[in-house]
Amino acid sequence: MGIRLRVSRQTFAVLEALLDQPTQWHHGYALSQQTELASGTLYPILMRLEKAGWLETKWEEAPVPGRPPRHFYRLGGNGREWAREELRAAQTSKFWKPAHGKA
Amino acid sequence: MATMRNSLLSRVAVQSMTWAVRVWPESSREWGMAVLGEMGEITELGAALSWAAGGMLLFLRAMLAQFLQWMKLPVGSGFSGAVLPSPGNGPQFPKHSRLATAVVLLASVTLLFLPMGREAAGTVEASWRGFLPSQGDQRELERVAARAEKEKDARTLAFVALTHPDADRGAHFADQAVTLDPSLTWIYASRYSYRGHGTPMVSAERLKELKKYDPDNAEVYLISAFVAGELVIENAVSKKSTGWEPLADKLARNGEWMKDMEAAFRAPKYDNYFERHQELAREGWKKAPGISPGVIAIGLWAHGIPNMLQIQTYAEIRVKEALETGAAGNIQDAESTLAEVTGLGQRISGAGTIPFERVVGLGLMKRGMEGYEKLYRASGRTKEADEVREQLGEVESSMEARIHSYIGWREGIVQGLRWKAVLFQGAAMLSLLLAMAIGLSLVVIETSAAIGRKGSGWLRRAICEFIDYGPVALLVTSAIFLWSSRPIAAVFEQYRSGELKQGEALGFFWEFFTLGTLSPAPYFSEPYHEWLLATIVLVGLGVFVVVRALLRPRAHEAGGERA
Repeated sequence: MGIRLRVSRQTFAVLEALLDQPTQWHHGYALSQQTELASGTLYPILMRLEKAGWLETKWEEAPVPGRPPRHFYRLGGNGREWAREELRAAQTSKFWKPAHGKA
Repeated sequence: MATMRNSLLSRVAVQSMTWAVRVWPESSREWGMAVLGEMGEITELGAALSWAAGGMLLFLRAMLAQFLQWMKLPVGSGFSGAVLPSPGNGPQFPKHSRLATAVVLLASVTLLFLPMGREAAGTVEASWRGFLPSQGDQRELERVAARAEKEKDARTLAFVALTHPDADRGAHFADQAVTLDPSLTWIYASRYSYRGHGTPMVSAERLKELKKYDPDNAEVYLISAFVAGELVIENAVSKKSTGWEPLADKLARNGEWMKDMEAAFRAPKYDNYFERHQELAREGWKKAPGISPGVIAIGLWAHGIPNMLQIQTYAEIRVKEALETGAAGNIQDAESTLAEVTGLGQRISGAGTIPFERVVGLGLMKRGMEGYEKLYRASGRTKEADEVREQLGEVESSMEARIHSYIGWREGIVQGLRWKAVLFQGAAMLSLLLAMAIGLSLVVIETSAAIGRKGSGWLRRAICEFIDYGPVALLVTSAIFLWSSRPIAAVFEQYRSGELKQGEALGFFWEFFTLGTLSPAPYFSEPYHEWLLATIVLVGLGVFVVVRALLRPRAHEAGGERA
């Protein structure tokens, strides 16, 4: 069971990016480029989503030897549902502004 | 586009993140590793640096969160040993968290950093140093002087000149002040006695200026005579020829001394400039309230007043001379010589601002009148001699009354101040001891946690108890200290605002020095006594804590539980 989160505009951007290809694993740098969020903003959001049980994470060895392993993320089954609900609710709100020029 | 490969900056960014991950709090380290894991995939230098900067920000947040969590744990406990205090066999910790302990300690420190607290701490610290000016006071005076120099503020420069503990610096500022405002030339007279033995008190040029500035004032000639006579007296003292006659002979042979004394005894007025000095000190202190009261008191205390021994010596020479002149039949000349002695005595007793000075003035009058009596009796003028005798009796009673009133007044100030000062000193000493003991206990218990030695012995129990109650005790003693400083702070404030009467201010500053010798017990008046008392208090406190700590486990055994 996940926890209801206080969702900021930046969090919406991350959720949108994760819902783009919901079953695929995303790495941090790609999410950062997609959402245009700096690492200092992105990771606290990912940490919160993970703590709330919305996010699944996994480690993967880097293809180049000697490099550190990479961390991957995707929304879990329930997480996807909750994220879609939050996005729908936000889009009906007059305060909603699409993130990064998305219509 | 700058690329990441082989760039020094990129290597620094990766190394910084690698280091951060190494010291990252364990609970969130994987997120640091996640940030680091991406860095190998970023090819553009700017993006890599921005990524690393975000990672460092995340690291700082993690460290802060870890610190706050650590602060919420009991003092001496770490994350691995984050067990709460237990009455059993486990390691013993204080009951309160680091945060609670820090808040109470911070409250105590805040009290002492309030303006009133700073003044109180400065006062008590100055009294423990025997009112010797501190380096901080000297720096503050130099800062005030630099500002005054820039603003061409002659009065503030004069204040610094009269307050600065360094004689050479004082003289330098005095010259500057006088150059800017010649009406301040009198400050040369106030500072003349600052020098040590065997060195000139005030230069010949400054004495010349002083005489030109106030030619009718006996004070300037008395100071000039003092400078000339000082070496003669020192030589006499070192050769142990301290009797009056050899000393008087030596001084009488010194032409410069005799010339100055003659001018002083003939001068129509006497003003020792003390009132002007007080006014200047008041003004200066208002402009620079950061200067410790001890320095102000020292400046006033060191105000130069004429050397009474030399005045009396010259008076004796003149009386002797008058009696010889009278014996030779020249009564009129003898009378005019004696009139000079009584005249100066009258002027000093009338215009002197210091009680002792007034008594000396009366003493001079008495000496002159005794000369008159002897002169008249020797020349057979019994009626006049009797009249002088009668007047002499009045002077003697006046002297006695003044001495008694001075002693009573002084005693009154001392008595009024004693218990206030005892409380003030006691609270200060106890606060200091508690602060030192708390600091030591915290170091011991945190160090033992860091090296993994957590015990439950009696000493540890005692330290835990002390850390639990010591900070609150410190807060209480700091509050008492601040409260007990109120009467003293009120006097300082009255002095600054000019509400305090001249005599009272002088008396207070005189007795202010007794603050240093007033200790928490009436019979403790020497510094070593204060340390003895401090040791007794500390031992008493230690015994209390140990006994309490030893009795506590028995209460547990009896079924009691720690709250």
